[in-house]
Amino acid sequence: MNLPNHINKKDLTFRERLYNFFATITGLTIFNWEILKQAFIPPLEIPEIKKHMNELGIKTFPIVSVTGFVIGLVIVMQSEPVFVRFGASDFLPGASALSIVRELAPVITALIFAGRVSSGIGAELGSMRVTEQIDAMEVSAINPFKYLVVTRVIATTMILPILTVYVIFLALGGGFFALTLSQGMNFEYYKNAVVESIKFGDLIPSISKTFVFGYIVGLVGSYKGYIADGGTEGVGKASTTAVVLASLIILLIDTVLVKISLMIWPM
Amino acid sequence: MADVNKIIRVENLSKRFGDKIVLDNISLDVEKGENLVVFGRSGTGKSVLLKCIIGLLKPDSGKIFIKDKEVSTLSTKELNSVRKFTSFLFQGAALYDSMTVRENLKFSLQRNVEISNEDAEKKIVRTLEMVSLVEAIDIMPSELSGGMKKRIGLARSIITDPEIMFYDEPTTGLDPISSKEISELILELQKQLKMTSIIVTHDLHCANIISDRNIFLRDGKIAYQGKIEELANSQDKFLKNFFSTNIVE
Repeated sequence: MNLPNHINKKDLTFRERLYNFFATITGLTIFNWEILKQAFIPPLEIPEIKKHMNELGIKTFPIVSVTGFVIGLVIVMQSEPVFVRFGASDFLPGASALSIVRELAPVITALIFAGRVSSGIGAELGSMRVTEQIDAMEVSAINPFKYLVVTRVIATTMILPILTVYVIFLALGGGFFALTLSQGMNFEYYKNAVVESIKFGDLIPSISKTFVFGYIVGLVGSYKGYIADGGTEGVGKASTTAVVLASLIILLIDTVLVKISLMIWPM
Repeated sequence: MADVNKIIRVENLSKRFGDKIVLDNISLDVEKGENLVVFGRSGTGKSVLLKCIIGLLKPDSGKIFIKDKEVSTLSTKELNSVRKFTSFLFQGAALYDSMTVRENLKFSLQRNVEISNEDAEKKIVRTLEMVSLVEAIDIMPSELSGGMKKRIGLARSIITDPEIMFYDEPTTGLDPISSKEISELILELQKQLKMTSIIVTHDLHCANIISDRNIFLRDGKIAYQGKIEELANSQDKFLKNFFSTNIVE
């Protein structure tokens, strides 16, 4: 796999920045193609994938738990005065549930996941690169790309949808908590309003896009770590740029996916 | 017809990074069972030479043969079949830091050799005995000293019974006693396992203990070669200057 070299120095000129931008795009494309090619070639490294899923899930579990509950709570608290002003407070549970399911939970979970996991993968693989551990695997006739990169990308792709479903339930719980405090709403009423407002066409695109987001988190983190150089400074750079790039790509892809999902499943 | 005794052949190898020519038309042979030491000042391409031979770096021009297989033209699968009978000890040992010593050794062994779990465990203990570090079997690499890391790195390299070993600065960063111990260990292992080795080093004491033949890289070329005493007693100004910083017994 021949990845393009980046210009690695301080105070880059505009031209050098532009070169590095295109080198990153080209590198990510080649990296992506290699992942897709190697993902289905045995050995599938199932134990390694399970290990990463377990680690990444546990790492992200506390932060997404808090965030999930707070999203639901805040969205209801912010929306309630507006709905009351227009005499539409009956629609509040359904409307808040829709925004949580369709957009807030998938995107916010993905961004938190990118912050926590993409940087972690970037730092881990980056440090393995600069301490020659990746080279050591290669000269031992072990495929480091398959063992280190493909397994992590599969793990992030599989774990993010699970986390998103969990966050959706917590956020809906947060919304119910806010409505109970302000309106004394009972659970049956809230549950019926939520179930009636959310259709199959809301859930499918919402969960499907988290597979894409999970893949992006793994892809970008692994790419940045795998090409890291320049010692500890390079590792730090790999870690931070992985978060920025993964978050940016998630937001851009989300825009495209929202448009596509609205064409397939109009509201 | 290739000479079967020449297990490694490098022909007109050149490698540059940007504008800097690191290796300039280098040719060398290594015979079966020979210990070849590569000397040179920092940045003269000693490690690059090793990495080109093992296929970690692609040469710009020239040919490299390991047991008559041309390394630079091999596919990844074919290159891996060559790597199954070679091994590499990195400068910093490059132990996998998320694995214990046992897992480090087992990982290389079980992925290259068909071996039962029970036999693998026995072999790990036997190999750690060779480097006198059986007690470190369940320790994480972060808990090991520099010398211990080198020994474990060496154990991991030899566990697959390689025919050819590449050592990248095996004694760098070690105190003189540990450095001597590692050098003697390399010589001992070479005798026991009958390996062919290329050793990149700055350490003249290490070279004095283990080398059969030495080459000296300068400006990307092989500037001098011979036995260690010949190089140390040379009247060449550059060599005199290099060797005057070290005392060779």
